[in-house]
Amino acid sequence: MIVYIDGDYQCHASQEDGLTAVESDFFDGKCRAFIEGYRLVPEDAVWVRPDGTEIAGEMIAPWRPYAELAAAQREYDLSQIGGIRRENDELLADLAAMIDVVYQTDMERIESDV
Amino acid sequence: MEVMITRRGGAGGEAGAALTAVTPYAGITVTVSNGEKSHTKTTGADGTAVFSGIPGGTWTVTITDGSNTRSETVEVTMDYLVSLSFIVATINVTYPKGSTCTATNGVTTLTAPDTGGTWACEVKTPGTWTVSCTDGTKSFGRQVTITEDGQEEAISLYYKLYAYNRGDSCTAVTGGWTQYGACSGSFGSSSISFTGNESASTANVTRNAIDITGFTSMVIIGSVSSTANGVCFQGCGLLEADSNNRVVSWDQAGHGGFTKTVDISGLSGAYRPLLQVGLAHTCKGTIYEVYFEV
Repeated sequence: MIVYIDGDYQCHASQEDGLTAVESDFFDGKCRAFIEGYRLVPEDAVWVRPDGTEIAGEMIAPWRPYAELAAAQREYDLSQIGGIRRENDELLADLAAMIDVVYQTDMERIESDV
Repeated sequence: MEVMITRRGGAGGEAGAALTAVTPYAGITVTVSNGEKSHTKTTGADGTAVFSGIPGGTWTVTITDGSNTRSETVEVTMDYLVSLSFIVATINVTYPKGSTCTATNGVTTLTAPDTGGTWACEVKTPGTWTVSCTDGTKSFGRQVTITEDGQEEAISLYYKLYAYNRGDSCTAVTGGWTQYGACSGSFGSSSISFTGNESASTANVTRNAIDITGFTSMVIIGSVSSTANGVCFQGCGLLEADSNNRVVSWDQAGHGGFTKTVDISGLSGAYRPLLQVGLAHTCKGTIYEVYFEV
């Protein structure tokens, strides 16, 4: 998945002026709120933390409290499951209707043969 | 039940002494009685009640909030300050020697009597206590919740906590390092050696989740002897305590020795360190140390 990092290496889910695109499978399946709570320092970069500690890439770590990001991701995952369940229900209904048509057709043929 | 008695200089002797009851509770009833006379007061906002003109002799000091009651008998010969509480709990603290250690609930702050590295801290008020140590440049703290009389809690404070140290798997902290995935690193007398595999991951993770609250960095010291596409250690990081979700991720590219610092200042709680090399037999590297620091 492509994410976009700013000058402080904080991640963004969509492209804006001044952001750099970075490919990372760490964020595959992740929602916007989760992505934008993370910092990604690429392999050839160094981020200097406010306390002066140098953090060299590649390093991906949350800068927002992880509990909030995990909660947002859970909510997103549940909403995705809801959508899939609805699609599943529609497919089952369509399948049941098709089976019913085939049954009716077969019954008519059997009755006409008799 | 705990009573601390402090004699204060005063008018000395007999009638006219001040008997002060100090408690952590505002609005509770304090009674002083010598069998003949009895006086009752309610503690003020600061938790104290002062009884003036107390004649010398044996007095029983009783506190009650309607549900709990505590009493202590004291000998009054001069002004007395008596400290009473419904709860006495002990927080047994281990902290780096030479550091100052304190415990606070936001209202009361207690200080360890020395910098010796151990402190049996008695607290008399329920609630959340933050126990911290500092050496003047570094600080570390943990919280503990006190709810019951007689409760004992043990906490350890560190500026640096090892998860692996040159042959030592730090089992008391990690529970040991276990294989994660299809293949394991090789644990030698002073390091862990990793060699990648084309068809299966080579990785190890700690058995226990480690509470990293208060630490700002995870540091990994190692070396790389060969890579695949320039990378050796790949997909390392921290896993959630009870799932395989990676919370933090790091890679190490290039050859030679390295000290990798990973930012964990946005994390609190317990996580499991993961070490892993890429899916190629040319990924070869060694880990010497893994630790957390403030």
